[in-house]
Amino acid sequence: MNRLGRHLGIFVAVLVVVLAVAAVAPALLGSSDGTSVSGQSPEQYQPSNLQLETIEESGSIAVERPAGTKTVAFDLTHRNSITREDLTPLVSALVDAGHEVRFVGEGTGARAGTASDFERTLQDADAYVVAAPSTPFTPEQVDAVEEYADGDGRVLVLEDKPSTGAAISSIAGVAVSTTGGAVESQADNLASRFGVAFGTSYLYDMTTDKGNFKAVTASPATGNELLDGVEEVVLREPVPVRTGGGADALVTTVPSAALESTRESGEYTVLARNDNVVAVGDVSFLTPDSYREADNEILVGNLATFLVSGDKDPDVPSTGSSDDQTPGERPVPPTPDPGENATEEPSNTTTVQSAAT
Amino acid sequence: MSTDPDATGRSLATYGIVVVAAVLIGTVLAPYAWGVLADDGPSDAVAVVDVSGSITADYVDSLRDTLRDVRSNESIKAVVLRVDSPGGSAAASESLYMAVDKTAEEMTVVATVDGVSASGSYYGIVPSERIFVKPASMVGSVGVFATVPTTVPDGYVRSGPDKGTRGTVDDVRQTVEQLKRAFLETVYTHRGETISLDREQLAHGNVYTGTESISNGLADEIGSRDSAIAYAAEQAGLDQYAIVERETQQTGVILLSQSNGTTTVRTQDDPFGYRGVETTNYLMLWGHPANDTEQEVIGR
Repeated sequence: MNRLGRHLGIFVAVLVVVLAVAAVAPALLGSSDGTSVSGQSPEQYQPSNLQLETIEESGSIAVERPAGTKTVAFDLTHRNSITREDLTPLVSALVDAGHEVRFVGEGTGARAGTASDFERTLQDADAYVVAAPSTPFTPEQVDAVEEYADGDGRVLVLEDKPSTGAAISSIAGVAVSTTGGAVESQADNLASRFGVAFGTSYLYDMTTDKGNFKAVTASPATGNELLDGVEEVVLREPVPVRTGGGADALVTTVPSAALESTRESGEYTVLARNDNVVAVGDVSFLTPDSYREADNEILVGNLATFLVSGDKDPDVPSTGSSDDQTPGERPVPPTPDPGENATEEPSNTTTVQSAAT
Repeated sequence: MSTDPDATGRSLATYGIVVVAAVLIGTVLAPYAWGVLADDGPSDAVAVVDVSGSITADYVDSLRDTLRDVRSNESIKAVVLRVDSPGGSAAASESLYMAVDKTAEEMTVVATVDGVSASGSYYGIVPSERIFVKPASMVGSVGVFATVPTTVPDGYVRSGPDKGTRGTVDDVRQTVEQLKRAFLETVYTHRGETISLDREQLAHGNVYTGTESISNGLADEIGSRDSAIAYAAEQAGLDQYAIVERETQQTGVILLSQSNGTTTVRTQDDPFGYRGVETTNYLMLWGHPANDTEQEVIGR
């Protein structure tokens, strides 16, 4: 028994030692189950290194109040790639200054109306605005606009950046919509009559500090009443305006602006004028999002003043042979009662008029 | 003194038995003893870690764990990132960058571009000590874009005009610009001495072939995956080493069917967003997200 007891005692002693070592060793050697991590906060990520200059937004649109009320027609009959919301700042400024605004073709969209409708619309308006049309002007419509401008009617043609979506083309006078293609602007077919053509590729500026490369800064290239008080405007994705004939380049981009299709940098014209016709290669500058950036609101105000400063001959343009009447034989539109939108106008016309007028 | 031959013989036999027993027991225990001091292979290793497919939050979580394991494995002395990815979510790409940068602080990290390392995936590998490419590799696309959901549906009653959105278009533009700047600065922080493109040129967001990327400094050398492994081992001072493959599970692709050598896979609806929630996504991606698309893969 003594021998067995010794063996048992040695066995227990060795077992205790082994277990003790097993228990203490992890504490001495360190556990492999845990871990220790350290975080990172790279210098280039610090907010102080990512601060952006924001474009100053201030001011309001000021429009001169001429003696009489003028009527400005906004053409929406050419499947224009704009909305009434886009035009709100300009429309509000005109109405606030006591002028009348008509949206022509609103809600119809699919057709440009007959030639006589178009000419009648022009005849009843002191100024004509068309933005980003995507169906073409007929030769008769272009002739009418030319006659209109020659008769001291004011014309503002705005072009927008090329966009994708439904492409509109005209086949035998019928507008055909196809999806998936680029929307090709049709403003050139009108503007070229006045020595102006729009580019088909947008401008950008990689050196801009205006928050995004599509924000292009432009400034007056020459003196003109349209640019009074304007030092710098910000346009988003403008298209260049090419001038020829009697058109003058009035606003050009900074030299770092580049054309998307060629990547060629230079001072591109974005606003041109040919007497009573003004062409702008941008729509964004007068939208609610952008009209208060830089001096955009001054430019919008000057354009509005330009629109209502003409002295259009009431008989131009002639309404054409389709009416089989000369301008002098046409019935005189009834004079609207104050407060009523009783002006004779195509059925697809909406009139906005200040309640104060 | 005289010796007893029988006693000497018994003693030698006893020693022999003890030695044989020791050898036998030693043979049995040797693998355990070996395992205490050494891994399965050579004592040093180069880990090859895949960075492939779309860079999503889930994927980078797994990749970050993989790199953490690599860093904590004392036998691994260098890492080779094998890259074939067009990028992905901006936030996930930044996480990938920080995980790789952390690893590069502790050991040699080398990248080899199998097919594409664009946008977010290039962001991730930019801390690498050397970037190997092939002539047909595509590298670059430094930049960001945002996908903005359509307007908030009618019928929502919100506490503020920006609730549920990212605010105005200008707000989104500002965010895109900030993320782009962080991306650009990160690239120049790590490769400013080799890149010949100025910031405006790089910010155009173009991709470059492997050959072009060596010329403009976005990559360093034409080479194979083995070139990258050999370079990484050399930089780590290794003559003999094991190559340890570490794969990271890519999520978001669900195998639907396989028959006649044709496999149809379906990507998850919105790999960069949150299932069931339409939010503004900021993407560092070459290409555009193809949501809910089916594609046919021949030969798998």
